[in-house]
Amino acid sequence: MDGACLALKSYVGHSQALIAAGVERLFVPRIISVYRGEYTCPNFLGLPDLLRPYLPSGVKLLSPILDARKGQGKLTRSYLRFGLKAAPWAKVWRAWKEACLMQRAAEISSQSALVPQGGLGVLVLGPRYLTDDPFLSGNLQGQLERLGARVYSPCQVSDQVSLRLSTNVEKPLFWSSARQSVGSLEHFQEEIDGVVNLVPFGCGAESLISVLIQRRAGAHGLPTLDLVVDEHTSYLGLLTRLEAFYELLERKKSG
Amino acid sequence: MKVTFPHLGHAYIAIEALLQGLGHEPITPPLTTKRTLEWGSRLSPEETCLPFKTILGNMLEGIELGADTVYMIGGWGPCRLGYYAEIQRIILADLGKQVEFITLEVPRGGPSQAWQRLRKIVGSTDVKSLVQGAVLSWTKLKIIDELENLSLWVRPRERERGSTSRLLEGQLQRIREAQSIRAMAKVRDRAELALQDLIDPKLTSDILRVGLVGEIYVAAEPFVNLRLEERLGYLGVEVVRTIHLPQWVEDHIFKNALGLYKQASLKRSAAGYLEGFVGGHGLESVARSVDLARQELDGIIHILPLACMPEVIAQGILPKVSADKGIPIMSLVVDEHGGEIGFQTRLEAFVDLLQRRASLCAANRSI
Amino acid sequence: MRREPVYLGIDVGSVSTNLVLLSPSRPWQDAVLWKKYLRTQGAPLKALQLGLSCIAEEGSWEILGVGTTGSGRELAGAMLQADVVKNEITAHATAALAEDPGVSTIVEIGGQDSKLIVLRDGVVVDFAMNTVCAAGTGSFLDQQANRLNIPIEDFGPLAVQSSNPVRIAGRCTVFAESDMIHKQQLGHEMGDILAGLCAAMVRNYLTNVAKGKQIIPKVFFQGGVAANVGMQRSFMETLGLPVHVPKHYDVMGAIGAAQLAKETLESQGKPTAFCGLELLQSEFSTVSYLCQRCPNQCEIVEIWRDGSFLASWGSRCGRGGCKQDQAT
Repeated sequence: MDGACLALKSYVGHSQALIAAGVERLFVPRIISVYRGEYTCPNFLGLPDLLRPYLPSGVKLLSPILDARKGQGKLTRSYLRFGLKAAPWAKVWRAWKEACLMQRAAEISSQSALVPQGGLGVLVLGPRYLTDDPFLSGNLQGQLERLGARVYSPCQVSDQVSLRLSTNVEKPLFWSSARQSVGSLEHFQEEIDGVVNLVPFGCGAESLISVLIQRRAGAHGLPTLDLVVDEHTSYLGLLTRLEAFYELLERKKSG
Repeated sequence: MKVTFPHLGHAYIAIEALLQGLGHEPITPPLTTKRTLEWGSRLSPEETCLPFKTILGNMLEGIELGADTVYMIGGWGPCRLGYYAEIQRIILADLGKQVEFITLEVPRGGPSQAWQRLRKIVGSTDVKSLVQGAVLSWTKLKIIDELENLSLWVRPRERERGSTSRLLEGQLQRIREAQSIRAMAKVRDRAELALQDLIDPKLTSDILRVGLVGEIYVAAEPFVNLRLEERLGYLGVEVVRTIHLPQWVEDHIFKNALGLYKQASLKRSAAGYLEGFVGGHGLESVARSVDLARQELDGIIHILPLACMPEVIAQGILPKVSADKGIPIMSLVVDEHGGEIGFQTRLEAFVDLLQRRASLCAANRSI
Repeated sequence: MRREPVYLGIDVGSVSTNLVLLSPSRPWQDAVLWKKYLRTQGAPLKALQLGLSCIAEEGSWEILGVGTTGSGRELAGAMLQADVVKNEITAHATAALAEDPGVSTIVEIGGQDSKLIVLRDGVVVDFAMNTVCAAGTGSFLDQQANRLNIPIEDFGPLAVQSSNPVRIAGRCTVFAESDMIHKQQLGHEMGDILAGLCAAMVRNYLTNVAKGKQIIPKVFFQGGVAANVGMQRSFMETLGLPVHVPKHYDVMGAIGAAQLAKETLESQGKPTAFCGLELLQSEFSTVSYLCQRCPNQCEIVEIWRDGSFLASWGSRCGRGGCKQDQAT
């Protein structure tokens, strides 16, 4: 695929692996929006259509439309409607309740996660599929911790907080992940010493957002490191830059 | 205010009229050239697409001519075009340019914010000249579209290569100067006759017809699409546009603002290939291709900027449309590094392919 | 001595300029009477003149018609007053079809670009060209062979000997090169590295050029790179199909141009417009400049012969070039 971004490539690759492992149904939702009034990236919008030509016969897609643009209620309804295709009401409702609880618990635990003391605070920004994937990000988080950093991430900030703080930029962002990035930068600005921004190669949205992040971080006096990642990235090179950046932060801190 | 704005084909003629009606002095930047692109790319983030760079270049060249205000279209996701204006505003501010940057979009705040925005856009003018400007501008946009469509039909049939483009350009400049609807209608009527006069009466062979789908900016801006429509015309191909500026303005600006823009017919056409909206013109590209396939065209060209998210999705789906409907579709990616020679080679080879197909079909019919 | 009638085909690429003389009467296997493979070296005019002088020196032929193709086809066409000026895709397809009407897929990798042409029942139905980068083309292989100090002729045979190819990232020349250096430092065998490079190029070709297009036999592999047995083997292994390399794989574009000239002139029954080999004595030059007549600023290229204007292209309005005309 010409001009396909890292996310699409890894998604297609992952689905191929699952098909090779013999699955018959693939859950590929059409994620239009995960938060009221916002969008995900357009590449996610077309995932099922993009994947369809690669499917062998016998493998079917399960792709409910997930759209929270008009609020969470609509999202809930589309989940439930999707569930009803497979199971009776009572069962679907129970599953939904359980899933909500799990999700909430996960959010609370990540938002209240204790950040270890000592070292320098580094905020890792970028789309979640990249920052939270040890393979794609070259275990960035682990490497930073090894250097002694306190690592912060946007998932430690609730939607309400990041939504409020992201209005510090003049035009609000309509991509949820970008809004979380900017919001968390504002939220953590007192506690951190620098920002590492992971940019997937070929991502149009992130190329614009990184301009914004650099500017906001610059306004707070925080150095930023933009790391462009793709399937050919040499992780040794990544590490070299990360170490150099961390040393720069240390020098800056000690005066 | 002295207002500059980015180029989009001949739309500047209509935009000038609109700005005058609003009580501003329009500063039309020079047509997009290599200089525009070079200046724009020097200041753009690396991974942004070609349109971002040429648009920024237009703004810079307009400011160079003395503009103190920049108008740019905005929007609200998911296509990144919606965020271009903001980043361009930041870039211009960082350069220390003392300009007011006005983003034209449906404001997301309440009515008071909308009113504020409106006050900024409307300069010192009275209602009468405002309405007059709007009507003039709209008529100009429509006439430009009509004449351009006619020229697409005439160009492959012209006696003397290049005569259509020359005549069209001259007549559009007269439209630009015209100050009343009656004067414009006169120019249009004469231009239509003059264009038809350019046709070679001896022409007998069938003319290939190729539909054009894709992202609106690259489809409408000749510098960016390497003058695709003219190139095809000279290869003896009649181009059928699916993207018309007046239609686009109606759908995306008026109807969208009022919440009336429904994509029902598009969704119907694209059913089975693309279920729903993917931002930008992705859905349009797929739906229009299906529509064109039904109209017995000889082929379809899909044009998109490199790494344009919605169109990349369409590009992945179009081969299936092509196979199902039995119509050749070629996707052309444009970016600033693309060579003109490779572009021309691809067009020629595509036209060759269509010609062979057409003559085979004709042979089959005669049997 | 009777001069043998032939059609002249010329393929002016950015790396090489190829000339072919094609006999209209002999059976196809022996139809190519003469061929020349010259380096363009950024000066297509010089290469063309050199090629023509070789024709005049190396035999006695009657040229019935001329076809040009390649990225310099306009230039060569204007200079020689060729009968046919065609794009390389059609030219390559024509040559392959003349060799074997049953061909369904053509893989062409040249010096600066690569193509895939899909044919069904003798008609081109689809094609693709590489878009953005030069990875996976002949110049990249040349460059790497050069860097590894291996004559390009030995490249293929060395690669074929490998039984354990190294995996090399092949999307982009820069990535591939740094990856290769890395693998070399790890102490891999030269043959394994070369075979890995071939496999990476094939992968790159299949993902970037062939992108999901159906490759079915019979597959032709042509262009300068087809000589490389390492590449041949990689293609066969990756595709799982037999790959046929035509006898004149390196000049198929020129053969196609000659064949097209023949078809066109025979169907029209017209004599050639070719100005003859005397042209060698002429002095050719090109000028390029930005036209200032209107805001379009077209980049105009003009070709001049013996101080007089011959042809121009690049203008948007069709008013043509000719600097003098502009000055007045």
